[in-house]
Amino acid sequence: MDITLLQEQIAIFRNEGAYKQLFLHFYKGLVRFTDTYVRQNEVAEEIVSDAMLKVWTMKEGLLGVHNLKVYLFTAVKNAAINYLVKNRNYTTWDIDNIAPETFVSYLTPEQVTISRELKHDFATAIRALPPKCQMVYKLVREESFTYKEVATIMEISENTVDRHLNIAMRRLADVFKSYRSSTR
Amino acid sequence: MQEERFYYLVSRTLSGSVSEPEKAELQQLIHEDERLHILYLQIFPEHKETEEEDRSEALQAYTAHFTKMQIAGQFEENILEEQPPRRWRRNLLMAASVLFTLMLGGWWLWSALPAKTSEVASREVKTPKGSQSYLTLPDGTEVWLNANSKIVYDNDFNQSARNVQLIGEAYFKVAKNQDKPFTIQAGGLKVKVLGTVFNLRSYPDEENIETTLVSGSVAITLDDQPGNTIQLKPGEKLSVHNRVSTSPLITRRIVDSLDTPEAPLLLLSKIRVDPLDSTLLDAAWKEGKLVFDGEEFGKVASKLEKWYNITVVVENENLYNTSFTGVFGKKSLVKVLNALQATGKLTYRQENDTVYVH
Repeated sequence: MDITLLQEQIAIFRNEGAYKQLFLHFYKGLVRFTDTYVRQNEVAEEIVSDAMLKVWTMKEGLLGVHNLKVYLFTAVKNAAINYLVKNRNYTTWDIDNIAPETFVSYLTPEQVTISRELKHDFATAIRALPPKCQMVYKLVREESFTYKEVATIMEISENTVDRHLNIAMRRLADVFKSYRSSTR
Repeated sequence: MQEERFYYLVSRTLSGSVSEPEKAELQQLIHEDERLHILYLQIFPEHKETEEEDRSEALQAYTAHFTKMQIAGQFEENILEEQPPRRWRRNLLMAASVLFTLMLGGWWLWSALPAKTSEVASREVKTPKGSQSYLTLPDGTEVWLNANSKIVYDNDFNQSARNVQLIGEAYFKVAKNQDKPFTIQAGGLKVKVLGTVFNLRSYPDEENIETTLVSGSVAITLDDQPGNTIQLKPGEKLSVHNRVSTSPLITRRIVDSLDTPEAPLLLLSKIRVDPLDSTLLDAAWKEGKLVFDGEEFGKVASKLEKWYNITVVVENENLYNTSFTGVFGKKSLVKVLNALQATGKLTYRQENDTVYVH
């Protein structure tokens, strides 16, 4: 899907069909991501809907957005943090230690057959990672972000992204090794 | 060893700096080692397993979102567009048919005097066949110039007025300036602009002069009828029949078709977009796409000639009544010709820069 073309359609032609396509394309990923912060699905949906509304009302301004995906993920992240700050009398969250527990399903594509057990072990290994490390892994894997985009959204350097992902991969490799040795 | 290399290649891929040989090496690695393959799929899933479920949930959410947008006062502009067509426009269409002969004279007059302003030196930008160019005028207006086109403007452009002449096809993003209207003289018509984005195709050897408005507003005046203007709304396209064409190919056609029903002199239509990716068809050339939108072979041939800098010789008269549709993104001439041939409507042979079509 060519996002830039959709942007042009929305900004210049006010094309509702293009807008709908854009909405459908980003919606679930944004909700999953927002939910890791606010931990309330309805709130997450509301935040995403507001962000998408803004996309329409920006009109020609939309043409100035170079990477809409990063823009949207950053927008909902900021909105989520605002929400948490406003509602902090209720619960306190450490923004830096939010892990994407509900962000993701732990299934793996089945092109290479792997056992249910291994899948489970992978999931456990990922869940045991430090929060930011998990977040990097999820953004890359689930939303197909590049290093640069993850770095922008999380406000960390690309090197840090690289380090986090390396840790995650090594952990998965370890799980795999022990799985191999135990089944042989 | 291999594992370290694997990590390295994965991070190169994710940081977007991977080279082609490295890509191949990574594929080789995961091909040889099932373990690495599994790890690879953890990072680069082949497809989103939840995609379909996601989509149906998103569709539901969109219904709610749509209502919210309407309550917020959005999505109204389209409703307004469904007003009945304006009567004056239809009247104009009728009046225009009377003007056909006048236009003919007007065109000749204009084409005989390409540089009306003889006192002031003028500048011109030309593109040869087979190439396009992009320029910015002194007032900040952006112009994409299609193949075999020419734009001329005076040296005092933007001092008191903004006038340009166009032969061929261009896509304009006109800089806003209420005090200095932007006027384009093209073929037998004049387009007056107030800050707008539009495409204008006016090749002397083609049947129609087409103005496609993307945003803003333009007023079009036929040279022979300065009192009447046609105002376009965004998303509209106006084709004006260009009766005088110098190409023997088209001229012959017009002579041939004298007793057949005439094509309308003026035709107002909606902009058409490519259903595949929503590209605006009339401006797709700017993105390097060659588009045939249900066009008869006469126009197809004309487009091919300009696009690839070739000569097309039509050996089968019937082709002038056969229409072709297709969008080609940066394809070679041979690929395009093969695709046309695959329709079964024509065959071709190529000799150097000449293509014979039967």
